Amino acid sequence: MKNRLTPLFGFVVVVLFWGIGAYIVEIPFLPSPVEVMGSLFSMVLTQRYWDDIMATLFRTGVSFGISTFIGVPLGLVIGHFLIMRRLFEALLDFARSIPATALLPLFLVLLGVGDSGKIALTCYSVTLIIAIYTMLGVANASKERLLYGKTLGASAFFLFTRIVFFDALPSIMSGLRASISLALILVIVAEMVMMGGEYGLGMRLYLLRFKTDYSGMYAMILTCGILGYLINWVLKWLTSRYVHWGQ
Amino acid sequence: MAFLNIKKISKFYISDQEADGRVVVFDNFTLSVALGEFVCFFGPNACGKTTILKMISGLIPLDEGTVTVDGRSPGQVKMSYVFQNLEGTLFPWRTCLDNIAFPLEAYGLTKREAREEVLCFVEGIDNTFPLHRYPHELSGGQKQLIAVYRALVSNPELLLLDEPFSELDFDRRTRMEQILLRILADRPTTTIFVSHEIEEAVFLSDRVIILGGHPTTICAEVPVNLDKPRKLSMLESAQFSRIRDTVLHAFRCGKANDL
Repeated sequence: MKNRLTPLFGFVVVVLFWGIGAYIVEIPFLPSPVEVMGSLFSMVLTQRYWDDIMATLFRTGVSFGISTFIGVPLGLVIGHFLIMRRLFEALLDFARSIPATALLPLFLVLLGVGDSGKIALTCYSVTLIIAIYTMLGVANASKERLLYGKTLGASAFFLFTRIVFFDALPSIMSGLRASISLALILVIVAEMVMMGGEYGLGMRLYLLRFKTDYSGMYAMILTCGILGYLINWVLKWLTSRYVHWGQ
Repeated sequence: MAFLNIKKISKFYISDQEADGRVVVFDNFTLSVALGEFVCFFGPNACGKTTILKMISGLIPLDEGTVTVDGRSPGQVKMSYVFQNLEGTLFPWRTCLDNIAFPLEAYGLTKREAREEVLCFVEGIDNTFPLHRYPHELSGGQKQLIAVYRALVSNPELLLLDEPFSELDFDRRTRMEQILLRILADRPTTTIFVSHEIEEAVFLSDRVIILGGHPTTICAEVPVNLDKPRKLSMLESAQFSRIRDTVLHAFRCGKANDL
């Protein structure tokens, strides 16, 4: 049973049931797999399809980049200084507990329907997730390695950059993996509500539903799934390549 | 003139359980160690062996008294400290080479200089050591060696070892001890070795210091005048047995005083 194709078994089962179901019930919003594949193929050939993907990827990438840039240093500082943790950990925990989607109307009012609103909304949640994972990584860094470093009389900066940071890195990477998937979700949701701009997978999904192009809608859902899967796979690969000592 | 001078040091911990609100761990403890001498602290668990190493290294502050190494305070001395759980102090993200290079980097060498120095050092001892692998790819014994090499590569003025081989079986332990002695023979280093194995203590050291009691005091000092280099066959010699018995006797006396 050990074969490169074995993981596909689950997919085959689902598609099979889907096909049979669509054949039996015949309702407009449950198109057959063949129809959906047909829609997907005709979409792939259009420029619009790739523009939508690029728009969503761009927003996800920018949000993820900004969040990493803010979240990692923030987590490092809060994790490293006990006093900072005492002062801000509760706030961080509460802020993270507000569902980002609940803030959507607020960001809509503040920043409008364009890219900035979508990106800001995504950054809000993702930054906090990254900061929290980073903070926990730093706080749980090996005390023994740090103590060893101290016996060498090295500076606090040296100890932090050569020991604590690396000890926290596996946790930071877990945070990045969790948050890139979240970033994609939030960008798609934001695109559905903040319908500014021309392109975006979320917006397109919504429009296809309005036009009752159900097989097109399913094709778009599949596209989102593939995108999410690939993004996660890239981070997983990066982790196993460069943070091989974690887990 | 002694190299390491521990002069009248005291250490208390705050405790609610005691009548006067504190536990005295050390009280006016004094000891001196000569340059190049190998001294073993021998005593029961929890007799303050680790605490005294930490005080010598400056990891925990003294409440009274002074520690000087060659007239300087411990912070100004190049010191290598090997912890009991030495595998836990290795860096899994660094290759063996870079693990051993770490103290040199901490002393300000560039990565490149540090690596070159490590290569020179390890080649002189064991040129088959898998330097380019990561610690998790190595056997337990090899991991212990990384820690030992890492402690000695910087030519420390003072070497502190806290039961480094206590988790090894007899065979492995004696092998590590011989490697340690061989390296030290080439580069004489003032060493303090903490042990709770009587044979290890006698086999390695120039002087065994038996610690015991609360607060910790020196119960006895036993000089070890076995020939150098030490050989495994010495473990069976009459002279070795005699020294071991003396240490054991002093240890028992210490315990008797304790009770």
